[in-house]
Amino acid sequence: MSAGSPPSQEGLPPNVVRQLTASADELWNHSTEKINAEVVALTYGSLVANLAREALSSGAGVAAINTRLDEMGYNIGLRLADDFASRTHSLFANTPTRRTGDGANSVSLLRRCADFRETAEIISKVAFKMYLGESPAITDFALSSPADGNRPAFSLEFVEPPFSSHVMLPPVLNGRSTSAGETGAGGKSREDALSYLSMIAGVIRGALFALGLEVITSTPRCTLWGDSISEIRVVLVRKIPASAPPSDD
Amino acid sequence: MIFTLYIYDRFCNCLYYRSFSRPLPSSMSMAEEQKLVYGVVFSARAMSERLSSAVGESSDPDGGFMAFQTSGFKLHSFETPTRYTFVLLTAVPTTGSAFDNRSASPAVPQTAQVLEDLRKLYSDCFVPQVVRNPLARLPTESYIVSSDNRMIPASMRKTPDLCPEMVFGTDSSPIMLGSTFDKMVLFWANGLSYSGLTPEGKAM
Repeated sequence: MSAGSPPSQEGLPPNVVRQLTASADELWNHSTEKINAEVVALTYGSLVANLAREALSSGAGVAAINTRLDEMGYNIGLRLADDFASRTHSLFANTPTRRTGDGANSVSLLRRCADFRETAEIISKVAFKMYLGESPAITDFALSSPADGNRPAFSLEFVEPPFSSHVMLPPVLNGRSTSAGETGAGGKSREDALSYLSMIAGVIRGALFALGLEVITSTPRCTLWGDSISEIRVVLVRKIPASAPPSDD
Repeated sequence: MIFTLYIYDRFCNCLYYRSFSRPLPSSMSMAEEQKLVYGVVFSARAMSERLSSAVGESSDPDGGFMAFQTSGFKLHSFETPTRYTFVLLTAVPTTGSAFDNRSASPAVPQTAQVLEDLRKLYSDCFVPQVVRNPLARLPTESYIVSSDNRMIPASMRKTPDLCPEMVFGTDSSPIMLGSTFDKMVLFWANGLSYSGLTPEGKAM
């Protein structure tokens, strides 16, 4: 906690984070159906391999694979948002601001995040925890990020990204084939690199869309490209207002 | 006693309607009534959003509209974070003895309890039966929202179709909640102590 920066940069108070983390652990331990991580990694790997084979043989290019993975993730996210909302309501039961009146029988209601920082914390500490059993670090949060068009943005960083064990990308997919030898920072061409976490980025985009936030997601770094970590960047474009009922005419 | 249940999506479509016990037939068409109810909830929400920020007690960014009551009925509105709206019309809760009530069923409880029941309907019936149903096409999948907040049919979306055989539910019709969901709603309603329904789901 550095002094002087605005409170919304700091994220949630430590006691709330502790409570969220404990509740997410509880959800992960007791109400999430588990499946062997290797099986998931292999299944996802063969899906990506199939997409890659088809894309390359049809001449669609590597970018088409990323788009397709992102699209699949987006459709998952649209539905996952409801699953998430219906399972996490108990997290908010004990926070005073989330009570509804009506005397002593206060109940928790599902509620939106107060700001984008809270959204980031919930995604990292609760959503990733309860679905994948790990919490990526939030880095580089800014309410107005100059590199992202002065919009709110944050990054999720994975030291060991999900699904990526046992995976090696062939040169034609990791963006190095065009600039062989020139693999220094910034020398890589990411346009034609397969982004293995595209689906997860798509899930985030879809789930936030269902919750009324339009975001852009990208995967600037990936361990499979030789980076030390994998990164998913999430940039808030706008809040989608509730649509008004059509007027009678 | 509960009267009617409406479920709306965020695009103002009434996805589901169920009448449990209506003392009187409606004076307008079903579609008109569904639209009217949504309009009222929408306006009440907008009003509560503005007024609660004006009095400075808003703990909920959406204003937290929950219910209103007339001399004839009470309307409960529960909105999920994904903007599905569940509206339940019930009899007016009685404050005095239970014998005041016109019906034989127990009095309708406090708002918080009814909203909690609606939340259970969402978590226990709607999410498993509709959201997790791969054959149900969700409203969010049928539309994309353009930057000027217009709805565009998703068929206009351009994506490279690498694996067409993996796409589920390709019909273009909007989501129709099936009879299984209808049965689950009846089961849910029967479980409410104040529903005023017989075990067969008929009004008393």
